[in-house]
Amino acid sequence: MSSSSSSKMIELRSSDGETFHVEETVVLQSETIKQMIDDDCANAAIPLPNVTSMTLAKVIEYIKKHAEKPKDDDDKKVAEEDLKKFDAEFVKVDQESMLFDLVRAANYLNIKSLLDLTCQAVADSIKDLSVEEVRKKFNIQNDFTPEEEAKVRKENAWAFD
Amino acid sequence: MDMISNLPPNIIDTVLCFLPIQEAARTSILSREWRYRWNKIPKLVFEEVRFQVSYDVAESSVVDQTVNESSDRQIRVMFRRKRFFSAISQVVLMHDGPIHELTIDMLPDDDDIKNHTCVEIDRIIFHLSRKHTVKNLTINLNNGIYELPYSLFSFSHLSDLCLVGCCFSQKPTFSGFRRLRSLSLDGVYISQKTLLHLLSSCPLFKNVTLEIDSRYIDIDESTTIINLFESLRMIESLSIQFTVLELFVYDRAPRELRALLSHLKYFYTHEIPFTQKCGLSCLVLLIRNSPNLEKLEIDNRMLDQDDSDMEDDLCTEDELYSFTVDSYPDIWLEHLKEKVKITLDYSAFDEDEELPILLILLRFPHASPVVEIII
Repeated sequence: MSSSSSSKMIELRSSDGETFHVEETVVLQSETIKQMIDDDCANAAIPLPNVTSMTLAKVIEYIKKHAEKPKDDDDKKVAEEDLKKFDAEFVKVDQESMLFDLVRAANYLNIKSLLDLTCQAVADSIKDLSVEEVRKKFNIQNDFTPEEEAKVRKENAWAFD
Repeated sequence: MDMISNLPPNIIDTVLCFLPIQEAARTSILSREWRYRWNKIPKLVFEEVRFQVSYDVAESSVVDQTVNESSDRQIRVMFRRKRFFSAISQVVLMHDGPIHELTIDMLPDDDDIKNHTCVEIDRIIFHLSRKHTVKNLTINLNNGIYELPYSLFSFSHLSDLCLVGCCFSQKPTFSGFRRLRSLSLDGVYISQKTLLHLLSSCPLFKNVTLEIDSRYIDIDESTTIINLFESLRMIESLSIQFTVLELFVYDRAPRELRALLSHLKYFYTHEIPFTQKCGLSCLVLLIRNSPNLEKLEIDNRMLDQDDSDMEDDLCTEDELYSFTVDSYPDIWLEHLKEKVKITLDYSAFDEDEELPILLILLRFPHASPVVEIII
């Protein structure tokens, strides 16, 4: 059995050409990369043309944290709490665009827990906003005529009361 | 193109699923592109608590003058429920695409207006049962006497079923949920026969939670604990109120089951009366026949000692104190990976009668995990 220190390293290359070395056991959280490793396509650096180095660094920080294994029962509870805090902090990003980059990266790399975490954060960021505020936040152009908008509003009246 | 609209459709679905359903529906007026996006989401969660109405709205919409005699609160309750059902119907009618997950979570009825039937719920369940797409179904009616329609049995694709506070009787032609993996019944009124039939007709069961007050169960004396565990032979995780097990045991549990519960890893029960024959014997039966059990938890905080102290059911002093490691050489706790957790009420812990079982668990020479007693 290989211990974590001697675990095989996988090389990832971001869209802007930066390379990252990550333990195989950690990177397996990505279904996409796992598939590549299974297909024996991971002998050279794996190119990730859709992920920038800044986003990839964040993703690696996330999967490294989530790969930590608690030693015993008592440790497990502490670790769970710790992970919750980590997740909450992780999605507090300065720029909205970073959150969207993470969503896309999680989707592309197929890391379910990260996709759920970031999508939940997007949902939380629009919860309790008015329609007008959501449009403004995401720069969505309202292309309804006032009549059309009134019609859609009526169609889903139960949601607008 | 804006930041959010050009995300892949599956991501938008996921984001919309994380929003309360009203907010998801409100995205329909963001722009033309968004108009029909929300009604493709595969997960629908309807919580009545989110349909609260203010008194003004309720009052202005009540036309029937006779209602004025009811209290303000009742008017609000009626109005809220009407809105709730009408929203579910509209969403389900407008929905475009498969629904994989459905949750209907209702607030408790007033005691004086408890309903035995509810055509709106029946209709919704009937409609969705025809679609054969629902995998996860949660219905919390918070009521206790409302009987679910037979169309519930037609959800052939279910993998997770959770029912709370409702009634449940068996459809004569029911042949089983062939894909059901997880079942949770909480405060459900069900006959012992129906329960056993349901359990034994779902071959893929992995997790079962039965929190049913035994007062709610119609008793059928022809079934035994051997039948019960036979229907649960594939089970990995079992969480059961002890009084449910007790229904299947007359006097005391047998020594052996017909087949080992070789997949069982986690067992949780509460209110197990250690001083009664059935309590001890059930626990021994379970431990003895679960060679791969990893985690055992018992919560006895709510146990009312006096409640069921029928003289006949009590263990004699001899029986209690003969319950030692030496008398059960075939019970091993070695395979447990985590501490046995026993939670007791402080006052109960003080009683000598509780001690034998604790002693045996504590004294187990082979028990590598220690027993943790939380008081």
